[in-house]
Amino acid sequence: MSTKLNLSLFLFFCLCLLGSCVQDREDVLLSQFTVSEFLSAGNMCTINEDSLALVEGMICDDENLIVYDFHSGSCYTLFDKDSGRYITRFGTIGQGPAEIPSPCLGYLSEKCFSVFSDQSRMIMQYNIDSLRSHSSSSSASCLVKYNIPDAQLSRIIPINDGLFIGAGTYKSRYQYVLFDKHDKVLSYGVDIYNSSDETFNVYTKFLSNQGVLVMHPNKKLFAYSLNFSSNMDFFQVKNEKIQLIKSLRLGNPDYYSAVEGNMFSADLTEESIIGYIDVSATSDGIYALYSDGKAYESGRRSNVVLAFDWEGNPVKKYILDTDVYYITVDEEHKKIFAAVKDASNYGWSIKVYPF
Amino acid sequence: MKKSIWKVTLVIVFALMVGLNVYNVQKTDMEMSELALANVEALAGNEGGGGTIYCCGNYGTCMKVMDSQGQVHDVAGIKFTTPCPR
Repeated sequence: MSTKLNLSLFLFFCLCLLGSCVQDREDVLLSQFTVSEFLSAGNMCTINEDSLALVEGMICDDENLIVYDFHSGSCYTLFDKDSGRYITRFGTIGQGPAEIPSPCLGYLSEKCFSVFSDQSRMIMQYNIDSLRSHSSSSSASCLVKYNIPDAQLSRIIPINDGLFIGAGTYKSRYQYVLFDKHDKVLSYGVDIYNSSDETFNVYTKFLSNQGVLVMHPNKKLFAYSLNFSSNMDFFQVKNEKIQLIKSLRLGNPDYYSAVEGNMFSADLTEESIIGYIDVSATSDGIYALYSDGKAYESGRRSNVVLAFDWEGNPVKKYILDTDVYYITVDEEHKKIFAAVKDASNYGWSIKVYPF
Repeated sequence: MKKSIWKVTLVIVFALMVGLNVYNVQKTDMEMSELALANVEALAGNEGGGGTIYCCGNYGTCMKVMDSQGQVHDVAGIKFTTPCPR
């Protein structure tokens, strides 16, 4: 009797073991989040869809929403965040002193929208209040024309008018560089994931280390997510030094270095995942749009938003009711603005998810 | 007698586990989407390396090109393996 009981228990144990083998392996990053919440879009966004071209990103502060949607020679559309009222288009491409040389990425902080192009090595700035009032001073002013040898930067955020943090590659080894308006490098640090991989050259190392850099609204805290990966670094700038808080590198991007003649690229493989898509920062923490889908099987969109605190700890996983392409978070009213394709699949709209 | 029962059971369970894992691997392969398979075939068929690559959008750097003067130019966009969103 006792033998039969032991045998039954043993078989039960084995079956449980088999069951665990059958289950799909969960993404390492997603498994860090034990708390989930489903979010449904509210009916509160009144942005006129005709105002939007092809959306490639968004950012908001307490009263403004800026959408990156380059068309007809200008890069951005400014909306009133709460009412959805269209205010103006700006970011004219051109060679003039108040124009930007090419479509650029931008960052909104303290009523200033700064844009940069690593090709032209210029950081320019728009005053948002001037844009809202349509005043004559609403064009871009050049904040700095930088020249940091050995730096190839994917993102730059001005910490103030004279201090800048860049993310990308520096000396083909480091992920971050802190420099001032006189091109003096004050600090650099944190090895890139493929710093010792000799199959990558100076260009393909940069191409495989692009991502999204965000800053705490009030403190010198930063987070940088690497495209097509599960890697995010959390760091601070203290006494003009870069200090790593936490390196949450849970899945390097799967690239290979491709050099054909004079062309350099970092190519995705069949194993590459979508990974981090877009990141938004608030005082409470960081919100990251993330997909564990394979790059060769799904588009660069997701319905999963991961929330972290500024220490780099996973806080909560939000599941949206549809796939979205870009996000920005309204800290004051606890809302996630999300860019989605409309039903016809040609136009874009903005959905709002209260949380 | 008892020992042989244990041994036989252990062998059967071990064989089951191995078999099921092999089946799972094969099943995962079979479940690859047609799109993925097409891409894999495109990769395999092109000895120069790479299937169809899309440089999507106006931001980020998709690739770098060096001209005859040694100047390096950026090709804008995010590299992707599916058609760009319209």
